[in-house]
Amino acid sequence: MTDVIGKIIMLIALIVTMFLAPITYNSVIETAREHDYIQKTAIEFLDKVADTKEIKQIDLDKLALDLNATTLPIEFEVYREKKVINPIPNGNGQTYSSFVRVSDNTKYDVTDYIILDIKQIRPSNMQSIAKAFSRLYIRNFNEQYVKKVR
Amino acid sequence: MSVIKILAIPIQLLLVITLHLALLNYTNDHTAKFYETKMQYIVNNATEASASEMVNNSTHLDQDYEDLSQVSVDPMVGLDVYGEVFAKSMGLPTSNTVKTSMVTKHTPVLVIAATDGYYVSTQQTINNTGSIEHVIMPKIPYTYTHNDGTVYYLNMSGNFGYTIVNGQKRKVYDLPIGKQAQLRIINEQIADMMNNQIHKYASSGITGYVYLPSDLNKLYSTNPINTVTVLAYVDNVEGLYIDNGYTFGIGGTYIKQNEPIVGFMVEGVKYYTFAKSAPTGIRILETFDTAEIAAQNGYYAYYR
Repeated sequence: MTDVIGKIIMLIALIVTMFLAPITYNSVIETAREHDYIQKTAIEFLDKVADTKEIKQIDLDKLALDLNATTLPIEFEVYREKKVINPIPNGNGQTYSSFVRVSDNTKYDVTDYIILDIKQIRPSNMQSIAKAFSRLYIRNFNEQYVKKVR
Repeated sequence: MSVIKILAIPIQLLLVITLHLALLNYTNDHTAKFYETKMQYIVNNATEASASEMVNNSTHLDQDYEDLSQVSVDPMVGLDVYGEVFAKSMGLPTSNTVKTSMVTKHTPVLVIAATDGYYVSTQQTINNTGSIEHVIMPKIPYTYTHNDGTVYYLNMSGNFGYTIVNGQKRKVYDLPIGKQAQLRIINEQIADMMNNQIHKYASSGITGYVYLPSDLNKLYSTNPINTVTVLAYVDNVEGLYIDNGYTFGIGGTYIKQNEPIVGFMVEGVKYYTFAKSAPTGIRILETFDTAEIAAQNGYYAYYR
């Protein structure tokens, strides 16, 4: 009986050591690298749009390709926000400002905001296995990047 | 069980615990670095937007784009835009309270380098209960004291300066030092002020120094300050992203073109927009320097 328990413990220990631990280690390192890569891609995209003041379909396609080069299932949304300053009716020259999301996000004016939302839909396969080992290390990518067009 | 089997279990446990701790440490380190990079991007954006907005709002832009001395900046506009971009990038609302707190709570030192002097915005204790407010000091001119004791007031154009003779301000074209030397002095004075203020007000015990090179150099490819620039030191960002983090942001701008704002009427409503974005076939009623002035004159924002 003791030997059977010992064998089960040894088997569990073997699985943890030979499979779960390396997969978790690899997944954590890979996730960190991919988060850095996604952030770099997002920043490059925003800087380019801020310089050119326009987004072409090819830019969006390239962004999609770059983001999907990772193992993480990613979805993203690009939108344009415009700061509008309007007069307060009967306000004797007083104004108020607000932000509106503009439907056309292909052309940008100076002072417009370009906002890039990047969300991870679900964990990757490696992350799922690593999460079974421990949920402490793996976080889903869910960031927003903002740039004001200059 | 044999001795090997008995020893194997604690060894396995030790291995698993070590791996856990190592990965936890790595993840924490990486998360801190990740958000430090993001924070740096946010602060750089905020300073850059602040500098651009001040130049765009310069009321003298239409006189001569090439003459830097004609560019005047309003530090209040700079602070407002800095707070707005900072707050928006952090996913926070852009109300005046939040914008102000971005500056007062998280930016101990902000320097606005204008063409002929610089403004320093720092935290000051305003009463004996310890309330902190940001105070913009009066503009400090860039100065150079020559060997003969004459003090010259410099500007970023480098073409001329001012001196005081018998209490009278006098424009001087033949300055005793060249343009590069003037830019070097301007950069040094801004760097000195940043260092002094950071060491005075920073809460996280910073030990490094801010170094602003006066020339473009091949080794580091860094740019000197030679146009309207905003420099910000951000710390005390606990609760935002990272613990005890601090970052330094610098944003400059250059004058490329002025985009005029035009006012027009559609179906009896007065609208304003940038000239290039105006609908075709409309009759322009007025032009404005800023959207704020257009709104003050009863024009509504026109956007697609």
